[in-house]
Amino acid sequence: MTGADILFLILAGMAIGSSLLVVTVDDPVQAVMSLIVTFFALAGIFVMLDAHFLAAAQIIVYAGAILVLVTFVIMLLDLRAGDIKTPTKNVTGRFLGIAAAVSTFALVASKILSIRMDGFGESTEGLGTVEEIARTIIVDFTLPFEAASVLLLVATIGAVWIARRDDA
Amino acid sequence: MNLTSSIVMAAEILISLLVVLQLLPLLIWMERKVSSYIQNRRGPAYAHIGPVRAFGVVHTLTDVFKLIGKEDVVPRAANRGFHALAPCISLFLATLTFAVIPFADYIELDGVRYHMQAAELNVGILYLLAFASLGVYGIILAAWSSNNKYSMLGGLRSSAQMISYELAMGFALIAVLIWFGSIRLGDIVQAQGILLFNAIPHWGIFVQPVAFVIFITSAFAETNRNPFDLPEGEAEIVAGFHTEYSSLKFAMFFMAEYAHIIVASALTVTLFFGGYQIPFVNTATLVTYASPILATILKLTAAGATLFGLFLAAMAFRFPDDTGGPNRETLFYAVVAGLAPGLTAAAVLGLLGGDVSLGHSASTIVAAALQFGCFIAKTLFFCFSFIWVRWTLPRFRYDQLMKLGWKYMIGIAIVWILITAGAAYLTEGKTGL
Repeated sequence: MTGADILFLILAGMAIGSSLLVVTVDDPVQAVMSLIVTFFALAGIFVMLDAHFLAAAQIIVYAGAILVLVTFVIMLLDLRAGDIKTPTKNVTGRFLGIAAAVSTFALVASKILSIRMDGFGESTEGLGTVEEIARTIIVDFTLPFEAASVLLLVATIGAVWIARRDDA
Repeated sequence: MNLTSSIVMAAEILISLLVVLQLLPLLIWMERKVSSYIQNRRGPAYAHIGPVRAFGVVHTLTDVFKLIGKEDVVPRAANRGFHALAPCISLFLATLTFAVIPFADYIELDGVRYHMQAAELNVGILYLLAFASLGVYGIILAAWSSNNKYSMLGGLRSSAQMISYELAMGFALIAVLIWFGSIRLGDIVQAQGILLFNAIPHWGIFVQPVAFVIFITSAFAETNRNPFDLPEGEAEIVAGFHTEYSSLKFAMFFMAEYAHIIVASALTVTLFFGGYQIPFVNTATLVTYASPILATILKLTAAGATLFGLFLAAMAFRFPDDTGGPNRETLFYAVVAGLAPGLTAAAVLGLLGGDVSLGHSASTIVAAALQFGCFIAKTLFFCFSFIWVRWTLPRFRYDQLMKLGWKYMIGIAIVWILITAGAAYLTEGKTGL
C-alpha cells in the first residue's frame, strides 16, 4: 500500500464516519460540525485527484459560506439536542423511507460499479488547475455559464421578494 | 525526492510557521509600547530577568506564565466540547494561512531552484480566502457555546462583519489579480520586481491604489481590530465572543488576533508592496553582487556594532547603578547588542581573509536572506500601522460599519474592477508591463 492509498483511506474513512455522524447525533450543532469535517475530507480527496480548484471552491462555498448560514440559523433558533422530532413511528412511512433509501443506493451503486475503472490514465498536465477551469467556463462554455449566472440572479431576486415585508 | 529537497521543504515549512509564532510576542510587546507612547506613557518597564528589562519585552514572558497559571473557568451551562474547540480553530486557521506567502525569491542548491514558499499551490490566493472564510467558525462557536448573551451578541456582530467585509476584500483582490495576471502569490510578487517607466517599482500600491485602500480597510475589519472592533465593544457587550474565556483558552484567542494581524500585514506586503522585493534591486542583481554586499554588511557590523558596544559600556560606567558599580543592564546591552555581533562579524571577516567570495549556491542563499529581511521589515511596518490605527481612531457605530461595507466599499470595488479590466485590456503587451 502506498502513502497515497493510506491517505485516501484515512480521508474516505473520515468522510463516511463524519457523514454518518451528521444523521445520527442528537445535537444539531454537532451535526453541522460533522458536516464540515465531511466537506474537509472530500476536499482532501479532490486534492489527491489533482482537482485543486474544486477543493478550494468546496471549502470556500460549502464550508465557508453555506454552512455558516446553517450554523447561524441553528444557533439563532437555539435548537438543542432533542428539539428535533424523532423519526416517524408510522410503520408504512418507515417502510417507504427504507425502500426509497435502498433503491436510491442500489441505483447509484449500480451506476458506479458499471464504470470501467481501468479506463483512466494519469491525469493530464494542467487538468483541474485554475487556468484550465477558467478556459473551460469562460471561453468554451460562455453562454451556459452566463445563463447559470442569470438563473442565480433570478433566484436571489426571488428570495428577496419573498422575504420582503408585507407593509413595505 | 532527495535529501536536499526534503531538508529545504522542511526549512520552508518551519520558517513560515516560526514567522507567525515568533512575531506574536514581539507584536504583543509592540502593542503595549506603541499604545503607551501614543498616550504619553512609558509602558511596561518593571518585569526583569536579573538586571535586564529589555525595554519591556520581559513583560510578554511574564504574561505567558500569568496566563498559564490562571484558573480555567468554564461556565456551568456552556457546551464544554465546543467551548474548548473554538479557540483551537481560531489559532489553527490563523497560523495555517501563512503557508502560501512567499518570503524570498529562490535558493539554488546542486543546480536545483527552490522557491521560498512553504506551499506553492496552483489555487494560490483561493487557499487564503478559503481559510479566511473559515475564521468565522472559531468565533461563532465560542459565542454560542459560552451560553451567554453578551458572547452571542458579540459573536453575531463579528460574524456579520467578517462576512460583509470578505466580499469587499474579494473584489479588491480580483482587481489586483487581473492586473498581475496570476492567482499565485509567487507570480504576483515576481511581477512586482520590475520597474514602471524605469522609475518606480511596479508595486501594487502604485498601480492599484483604490484596491489597496479597500483591501487594507477590509483587512482591519477581518481582524476585528479598531476601528472595526465592535465584536468586543467593552462598553456595550463586555468582551464579546471571548467574555467567558480565561487562562490559556483566552490566550489562544489573543494569539489568534495577533496572528491574524501578521498574516494580514504579510498579505498586504505581498500584494501591494512588492513582497520580498527590495526596491530597485532585483534578484539577479542581488545574486551577482552577493559577495560584496555580504562583505560590506560584515564590515559595517564589525565597525558599527563594536563602536556602539563600546559606547554603551562607557555609558554603563558613566551612569553607575544604586550600588555604585557600573550599570549592569547597560553592560548587558553593550555585550549583546554591540560587542558580541561586532566581534563575531570581525572574526568571520578575519577567517575569510578580509574579503568574501561566495559560490553560486551561497550567493542565492545570501540574496534570499536579504529578501527575507526586507519582507519581515515591511511586514513589521504594517503590523505597527495596525497598532497605530487602533490607538488613534475611534470605533464605528454598527450601522456605519454595515453602510461602509455594503454601500460604499463594494460599489467602489466593482467600479475599480471595471477600470482595471479596461486598463489591463488596453495595456496588454505594451509598455513592457
